[in-house]
Amino acid sequence: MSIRNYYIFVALITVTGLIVRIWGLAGLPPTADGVQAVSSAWEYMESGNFGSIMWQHPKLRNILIYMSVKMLGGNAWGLNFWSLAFGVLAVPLIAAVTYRLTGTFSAALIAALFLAVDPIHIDFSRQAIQETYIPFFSLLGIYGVLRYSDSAKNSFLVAAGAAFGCGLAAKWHVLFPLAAAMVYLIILNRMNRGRLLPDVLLITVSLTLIPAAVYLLTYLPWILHGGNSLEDLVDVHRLMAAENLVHAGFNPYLMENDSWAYLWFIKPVAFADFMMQGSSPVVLLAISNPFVWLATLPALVLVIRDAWCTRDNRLFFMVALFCCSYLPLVMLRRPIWVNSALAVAPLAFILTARAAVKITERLRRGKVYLTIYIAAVVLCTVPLYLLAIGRGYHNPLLHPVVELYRPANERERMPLP
Amino acid sequence: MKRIRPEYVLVLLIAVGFVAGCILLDVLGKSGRSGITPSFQDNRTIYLARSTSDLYHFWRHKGIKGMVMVHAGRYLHYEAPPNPSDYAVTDGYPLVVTPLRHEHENNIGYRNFLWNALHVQVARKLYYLLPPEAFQERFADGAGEAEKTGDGGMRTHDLGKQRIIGTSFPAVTEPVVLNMDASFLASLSGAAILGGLSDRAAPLGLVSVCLAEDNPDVTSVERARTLELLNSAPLAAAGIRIVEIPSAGKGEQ
Repeated sequence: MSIRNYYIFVALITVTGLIVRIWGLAGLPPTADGVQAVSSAWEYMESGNFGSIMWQHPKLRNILIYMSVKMLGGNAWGLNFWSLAFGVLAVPLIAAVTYRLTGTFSAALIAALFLAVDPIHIDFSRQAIQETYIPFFSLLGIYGVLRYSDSAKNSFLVAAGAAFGCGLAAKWHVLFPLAAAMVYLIILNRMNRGRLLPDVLLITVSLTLIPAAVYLLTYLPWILHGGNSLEDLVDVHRLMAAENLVHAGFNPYLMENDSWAYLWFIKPVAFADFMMQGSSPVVLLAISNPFVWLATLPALVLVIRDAWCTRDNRLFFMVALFCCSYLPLVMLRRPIWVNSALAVAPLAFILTARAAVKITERLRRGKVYLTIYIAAVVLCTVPLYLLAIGRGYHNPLLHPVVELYRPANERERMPLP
Repeated sequence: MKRIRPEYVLVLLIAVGFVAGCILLDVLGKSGRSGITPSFQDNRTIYLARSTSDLYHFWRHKGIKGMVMVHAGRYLHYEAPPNPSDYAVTDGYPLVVTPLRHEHENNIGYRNFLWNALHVQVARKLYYLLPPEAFQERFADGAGEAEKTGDGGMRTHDLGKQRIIGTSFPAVTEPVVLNMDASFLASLSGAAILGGLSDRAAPLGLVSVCLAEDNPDVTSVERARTLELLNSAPLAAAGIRIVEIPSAGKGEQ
């Protein structure tokens, strides 16, 4: 494939990602979380208080939503602008990262397609909460790291630090891919280059102090409004960390959703939001695409095997990124819902895309099988997409699926016919 | 001359910039604290408030912000309003943000004046000094969601805003805003605290006594005893003057 065609396909997939994320968005009511996100944004920026929605997470979302609602108004675009932007821009970004990691245009395009049409990523790209910030900034940081390792240009490293910092300022989970990236660069540098000390120093400082600086800056409203010092910042982070270790949500229905990370790549998992539009319910039901998500663990095994056989640093890095991002969530003793899977999903998509290309290229009619696989992914996406954007409840074919996720107390109150 | 590697220059720039930035943030934060000069050590003044709402409005009028507050009293005064946010947002498009602070300010009373003090940043951290029997009664069934502190107190928080409840004066190294409620001063330990104000080594910022006339749980006996303590000879001898806050706390007499 020529590079020109590659860029055209990336653009087409990105436009597809944009269309599926904005279609019908203006006609939907905001979620309860979205409304509270605006209240929390105003609390934070104008009063220096944390606000009630996800107070235990960092504050970049408050700053960005405040800006977008002020600039674009209190409509669907003002509320969801950043989630949409980061959701769409993650599509070409995952292509760029996948290409750097695998060296193949095909894998890059397939990973981009997976992300563009992923129901869970689409669902949260259309909501105000910060779930799509994490994959975007993580991928951006990883891309910067890969460009630095290819070119040795320090500007890429500094940019990667800033990107990881923004990701950290959205959710702490970005610490895991950041740590993997830092270790990768230091080990790679030690192996391949003679100049150990200056580069290791720069890598360490760029991937610790720069992210920390960006992170600290997002607390400026809290510091200024409340007369808070760095000591107070440390204190409040102790409280945030304590809450993050035990957080179980504020809605009992959440416990009826899939709430353990080890399930994500073993069975289709889902997350549901409920709203009313007039007197009619709207159910945003995001279910993972089994053709993509359930192929992750076998793809991981394949990459581990290939990395071991070829001693390819990039493959080791791919494995490290996924494992470092996923395993801490698996080991957490508190519920983790599917929205948090977006921190891991792009890395899973890269693994699966690479595996799909590698397996089919060894087969006699590999391209046919690959095409069939992609077609299956896309076909499966169609009903999942309708469910994710709230068009499932009134659809006679999809309504039974939505009913599977009716809250238990509702089932007791209104038994199904 | 040996050429300095650009990586070292960049490391130095980033490190120095980071440290300078941290210092700047810390200084900016602390410079935002205000409203308690002159301190108690300088002006030897105890402000007397008739009601909790008078006291709250006095704090606001004085521009007190970002201080550590110590409230000595039997009650917590921490009832949140039905909508505890300072901003209401319509639950459909267009999203309209309506400030609620004015509404909260119009409903200041004994039930909620400390909740409001914490939420408008008058206090950034709140210590409660309870009479021992009130502390025992309140935590007889255990800490609940609060965590125990090293000195036997309880630490809790409200969306990151810390409240520490104990029976002894906290070990705080910065000037505090101290309020003593009539419900506390009527007990024996309260008299000891009041008498010890002038000998206090720890810094005190603004000191007030509240008669809590708006609190039906504080008795007239407790208020009378409080006034008796304030007019006692030892305080006058120590050069402590009592200044009554006018109603609605708009200024000093």
